[in-house]
Amino acid sequence: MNIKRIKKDFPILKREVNGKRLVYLDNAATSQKPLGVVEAISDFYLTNNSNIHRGLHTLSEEASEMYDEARVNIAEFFGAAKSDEIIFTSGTTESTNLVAFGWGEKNLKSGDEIIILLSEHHSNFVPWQEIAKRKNAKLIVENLEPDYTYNFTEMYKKISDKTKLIVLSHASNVLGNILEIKTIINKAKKINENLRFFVDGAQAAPHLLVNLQSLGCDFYVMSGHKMLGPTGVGILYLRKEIQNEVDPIKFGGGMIKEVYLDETSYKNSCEKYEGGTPNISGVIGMSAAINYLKEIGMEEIRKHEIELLKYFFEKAKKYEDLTIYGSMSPLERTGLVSFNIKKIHPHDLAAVLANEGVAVRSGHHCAMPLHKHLQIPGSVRASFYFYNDEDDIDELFKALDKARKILL
Amino acid sequence: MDLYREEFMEIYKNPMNQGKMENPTIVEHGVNEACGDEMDLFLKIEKGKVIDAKFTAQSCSVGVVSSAILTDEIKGKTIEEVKKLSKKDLLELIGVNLTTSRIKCATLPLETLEKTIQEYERK
Repeated sequence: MNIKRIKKDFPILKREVNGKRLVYLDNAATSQKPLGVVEAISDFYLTNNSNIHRGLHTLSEEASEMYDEARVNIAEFFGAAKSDEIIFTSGTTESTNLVAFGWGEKNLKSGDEIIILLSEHHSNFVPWQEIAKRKNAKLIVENLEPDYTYNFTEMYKKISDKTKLIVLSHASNVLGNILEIKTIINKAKKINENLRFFVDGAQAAPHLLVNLQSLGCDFYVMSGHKMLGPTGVGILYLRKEIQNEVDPIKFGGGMIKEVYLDETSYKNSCEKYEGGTPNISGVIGMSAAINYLKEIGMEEIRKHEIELLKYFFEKAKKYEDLTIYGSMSPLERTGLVSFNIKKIHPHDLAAVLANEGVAVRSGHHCAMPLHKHLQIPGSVRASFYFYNDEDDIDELFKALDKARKILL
Repeated sequence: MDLYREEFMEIYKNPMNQGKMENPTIVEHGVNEACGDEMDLFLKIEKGKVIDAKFTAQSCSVGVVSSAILTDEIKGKTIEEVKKLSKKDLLELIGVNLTTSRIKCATLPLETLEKTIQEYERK
């Protein structure tokens, strides 16, 4: 991988911040966008802009084709069996809410159980907590072991006829730990074959080659903006065989078959869940992002991020005041590291880093239950993507040294 | 003035009025949900006047410095005078340039103070 050449595709990386080169290490929050993605969106607005699946005029036909092709492209990339299994939403949060309320409302009843992990992002925790409350169902939260792993053997023991759903993150946005989704699903299904599996892939899909059919989950959700796409586009993978288990939660134009004064029937396809004019340009931008990722290659991206993690861990060894959360094996995690420096509040650390041009995130990263469990007010998270290199990590460590000088 | 200048760091490293108070008239807990900062504000009030103010905080430097400056400022003031303190007043007292996201860190002590006074007057 030629990172110097890749960096050129991302005009924002040339930017200076406070007179220093921008070192962007907040990719778990959102990735930067290559010129090709920005151009795909602006080209659409400049030459094809029209609403889809409505007009018979040329622009509408073009826009509809581009939108449908994007769905096929994205479905193929993630290994879905049919493009009809890919539903466009505004992001991971909307995708999750669609399942929590569209599926949960219909399938959960009093006394049912949902198993979920402690380290979930709020957006993959609160919707389940909310639907469980409304349906008088029970949310069983799996606790984190001292080595930042989960004891799945213990989790399997909790599965019964009452268990309806298991909610997992493919990778945590704080710990970065990658779960063996396929193995977990296979083992859990042997105990209760009617179980449904919901996987939050927001932090995995940008970094790993995801094959939805091979994973074997029923639902998989992700955001476009964390993988080079624009904000406001998300994906819900909904396995075709269980589409009748999920009701739409947005009613309006575009999802209708027939409307009568006393009754309405809905389309029997992914479009049933996409009421209203969708984010057409966003979806087209997302498809361009997928094309870019295809060109680089997900295996290459993964390899590069493992190298960056190794480099980071090697440098981190020299500092006794640095606490890193999560597995120390680069093979078990995505390219992000959450950490703290003794006696420095994460916000202060991030603020000094920002002054040095280094963009990281600080706080609880929308994972309050995890931070409460770790008994820390927050952490600093440096998250890499394939356009980061060892120079970026060097700059980060230089800035950390400066922070120690100022704050200690 | 930029954040983390010497004067600011001096207060952060040796904050005035930090610590618990024995027998306060009132104590209130404040939380900034956005970042997880937490603090306790202790006031001793006599004849409508704040005669002592202390705080404990689990927060970043901005929160600690703001708490130290605010508690110093209200000591000796009447309740009515304390109620007049605005966000603008406090930010001027702190006197460093704060970005939008850090202003929240600075104003938690003031929000906690307002809550404390309301609670005191309700009792």
